[in-house]
Amino acid sequence: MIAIVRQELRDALRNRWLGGYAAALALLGLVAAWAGLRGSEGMALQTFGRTSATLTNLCLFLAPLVSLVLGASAIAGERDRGTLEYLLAQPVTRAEVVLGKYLGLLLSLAGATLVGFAPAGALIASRAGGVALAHFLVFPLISILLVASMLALGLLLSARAATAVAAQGLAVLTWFALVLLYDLVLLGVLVGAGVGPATLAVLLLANPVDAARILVVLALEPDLYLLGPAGAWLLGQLSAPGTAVLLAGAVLGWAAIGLGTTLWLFRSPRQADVRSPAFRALATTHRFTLDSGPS
Amino acid sequence: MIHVDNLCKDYGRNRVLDGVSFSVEPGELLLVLGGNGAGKSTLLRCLLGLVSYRGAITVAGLDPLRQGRAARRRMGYMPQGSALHLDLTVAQTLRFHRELRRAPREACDRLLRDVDLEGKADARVSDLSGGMKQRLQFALALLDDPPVLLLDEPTASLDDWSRDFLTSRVRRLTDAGKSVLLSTHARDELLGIADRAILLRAGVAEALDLRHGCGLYGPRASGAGDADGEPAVLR
Repeated sequence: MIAIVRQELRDALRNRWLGGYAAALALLGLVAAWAGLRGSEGMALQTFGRTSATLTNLCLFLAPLVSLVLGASAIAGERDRGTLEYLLAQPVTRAEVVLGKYLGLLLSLAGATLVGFAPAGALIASRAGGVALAHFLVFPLISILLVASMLALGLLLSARAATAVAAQGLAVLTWFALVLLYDLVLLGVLVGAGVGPATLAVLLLANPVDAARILVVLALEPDLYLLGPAGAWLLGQLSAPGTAVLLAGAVLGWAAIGLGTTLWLFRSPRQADVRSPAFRALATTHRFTLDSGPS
Repeated sequence: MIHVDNLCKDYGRNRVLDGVSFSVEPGELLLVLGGNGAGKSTLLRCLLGLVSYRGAITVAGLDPLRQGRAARRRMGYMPQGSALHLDLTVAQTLRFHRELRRAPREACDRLLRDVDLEGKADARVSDLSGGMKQRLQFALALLDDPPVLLLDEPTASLDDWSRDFLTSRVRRLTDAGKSVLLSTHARDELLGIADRAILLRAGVAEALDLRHGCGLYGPRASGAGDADGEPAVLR
């Protein structure tokens, strides 16, 4: 498994998605930090202002998108290139392939997240001091939590999708559903059905992106108005540390569910894993299924 | 070393292997002959535990489905065509497989020399010719000196030099005591070095006696001719 982790880390150095992700975080993070420092004269991040809102959106939009797409490409991409069969023919178990790819990508994405946030962190530390930097560290840390859960969901899509393109398409749809659509539906339910704060809290915990969003607010400034009814209800029930643990657990719970389901789905030999790219092209042309054709 | 008993493999309703039985002893080269879609690659995938099957297989006393990792540690596999990461260099590819197979570092340099790719260590796999990729995959199959080798159409689309090179290396390996199972479209030079051969046809394996040709070239022997050089029995 270590060999697969190392290979994923080496591949990460050549990955344009990861490079683009780190560069986007660096650029947007710097702009947000610079604007915040100018506007608050060194008080950046000590209140939930524009800088924090921008950085929160960076965490909640970029990290899930890149993690889902990279996770979705991991197994399906190898399958498309015909290299998955060769990998599985080596002395490794199927679980080691999944875990090796997950850990390798998680470390790569965590590294890219830290590198991406580093310039903004350096600027804030130099201009606003250690307290502001401590507040700022909330963003990379919660981004890495989100990366862990979204990567597992991406890997789950990758294990079952017929092609890498299909897996990546599903990844973008999943990102859209979790980051944008879910909150709209929730708002509709809230207005239409008038659910209570307890139900709303459960619904928010069911979405790792929403759980991460409340966690950011809680970590920066546990203001009841900013936390919303569900966050305020959780805070009232569990206190701040308990709520933070529950929210982090909800995010990481999705990592465990995604990874566990991927391991379960990928546990036994599957015909589609050993099909050559040429066969896939043939199957697509002649419209017969990948599990019933000749070898 | 390899024992296969009553092996059956279905893809949906399509039976690809139907009661195949054979064994390969140490120092023996078994050819698996058959036309396209005869089930040669499927047979190798069953031996590697990559697909489920019915029947019994043991490789070095291990069940590939239940003891997959341990069984595959005793098998070197060369797939049909290139299954390499094209964006890696030859040296990076060797390093990845050396780590996967926990092979000694010295094995990489020795094998690169042995397959005549010593000067290509820094070349990208995508820049190698088809024959070079095949020789690289042959080297990867030998990295940790496994007792069993599974070679899937190793000489397909190779030039004469690469084919002769591979044929001589395979014979040398069986002489050194390795069990080799090689699937092929029955090229003459491979028939010449094999100890035994089985023919896969409609999922059923027939043992062939190589000493007497066993009708492999029946039509040609009887004067019927064979324009494309393929054994009549495979057509």
